[in-house]
Amino acid sequence: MSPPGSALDFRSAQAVAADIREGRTTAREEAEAALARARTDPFNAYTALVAQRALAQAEAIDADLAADRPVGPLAGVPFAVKNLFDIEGVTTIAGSKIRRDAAPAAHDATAVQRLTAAGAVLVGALNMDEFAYGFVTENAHDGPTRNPHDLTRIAGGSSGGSAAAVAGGLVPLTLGSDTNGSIRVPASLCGVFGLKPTLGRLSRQGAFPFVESLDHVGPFARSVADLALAYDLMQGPDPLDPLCRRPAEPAAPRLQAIADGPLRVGVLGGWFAQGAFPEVLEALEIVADALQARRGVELPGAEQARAAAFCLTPVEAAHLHLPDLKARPLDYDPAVRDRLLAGALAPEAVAEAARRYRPVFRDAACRVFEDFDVLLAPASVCPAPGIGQATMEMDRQPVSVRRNLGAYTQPISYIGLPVVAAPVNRPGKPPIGVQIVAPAWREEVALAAALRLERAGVVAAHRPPPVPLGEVRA
Amino acid sequence: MATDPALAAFLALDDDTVAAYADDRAAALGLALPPETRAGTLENLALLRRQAATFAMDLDAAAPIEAFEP
Repeated sequence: MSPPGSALDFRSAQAVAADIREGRTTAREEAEAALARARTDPFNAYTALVAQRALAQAEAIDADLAADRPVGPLAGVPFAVKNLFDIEGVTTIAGSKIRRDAAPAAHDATAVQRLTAAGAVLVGALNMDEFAYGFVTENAHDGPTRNPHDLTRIAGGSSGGSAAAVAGGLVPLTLGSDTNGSIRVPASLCGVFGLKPTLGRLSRQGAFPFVESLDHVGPFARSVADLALAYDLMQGPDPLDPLCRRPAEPAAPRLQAIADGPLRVGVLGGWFAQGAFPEVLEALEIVADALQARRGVELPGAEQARAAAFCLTPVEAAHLHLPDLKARPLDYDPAVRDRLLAGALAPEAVAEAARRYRPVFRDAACRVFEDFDVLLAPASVCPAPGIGQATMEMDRQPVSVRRNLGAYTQPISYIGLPVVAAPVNRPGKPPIGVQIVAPAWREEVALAAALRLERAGVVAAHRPPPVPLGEVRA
Repeated sequence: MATDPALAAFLALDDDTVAAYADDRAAALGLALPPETRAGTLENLALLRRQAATFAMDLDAAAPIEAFEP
């Protein structure tokens, strides 16, 4: 175990829970250590801490254990959440300046409530792109989150703080959100596992909305087992999120059997290979070989689906922001503001067209899944670009980093399919992830494929090189 | 060709006419475009138009929009 406040900690969430249950440490010690790491966070992953709450909950868990009262499976495990999740008593800033004066949240978001009920101890809130609109987490107000594998590079976004906190050993478990790729892109660039579940599987109640028809929430972790456990603990209907109606279907107990059985795997070609950096395609090949995948599977309409998601996003998001865009446009991050303003000016018919195309593309994907259990695709176009890097080359053409990092994730979230982003095992090289895409409501198949790869050593969350700790923060 | 008039008009813009369209829309919405925002907004609006053209041209605007299920 890491002494409080010194080294970063790379144990899994379940290892931390076992250490506490078996008396090798206490929940209080773990909470103190996680808070100490957060106060010297070298990645700018955190934006707020909830120390008092964390220590009080940890002490209650220790008291339960001392009295032989039952505790949850994550009892005493520190976790943190993207700062768009409501935390009782904390203002939900959603990465913005606009919301810094908003009233503190009256209740925890449902996902936070469910992890807390399982014994996980919330220690703080994490950096993100403003209002979740971006793939870089170069936040104009809170600064950039740095990639634990190379502090000069971005963590990806918009859940960059969530990915960096797990990759960098600050906490073993975090929550993020994914509208167009905001879990999968940072998971890929930081070399950790991320799960974007089926649209409607996990409650978004208490997560500040970006594009309600596309928003998902999900976990980051350093192992498939942790990812599956956190996912299972957050499942179940929530009357406060109209999309979240499905009964819980626990995945973890089924993973082993599915991972040991036959899997029909395809590698998406066409749009999902255009412009990818060579090392991204090499990483994908490693995974495809391990799963004996069929190459070059076409998903018709993917380019159009990406365009539809690209258009639906600002037009729908602008509805929510129109009053603030009118009253205080210069308080927005410029990179976000100008896209929202464009969305406000575009006709609503653009969003309607994007909604009309959605079932067309979903049905095309359903037909492809008649022949496959999972589909593979790169999670990002490239490894992590540098902080402040505006352009990169795709197919020898300079293109915007911000606009293109999510090119391969957007078509998939547009139709709400579940995806595990898994870090390809490339020791000593910049992290690259793959998307393991399953049919709707079949998260367990994507998780099982990831488990098979993890057991074979094909995917793994690497410990980053040592970094100097940051200045101690209050 | 898009059958919705607003969509058809938007898709028919070119990069030279986006600015006038944006000014008209902004006025209709009561939305001021501060000078700092203008270039970026117009660039993004032009990009939206190009992207919309890739999927919206052949859709039936009269067809109902379903409540989407994955």
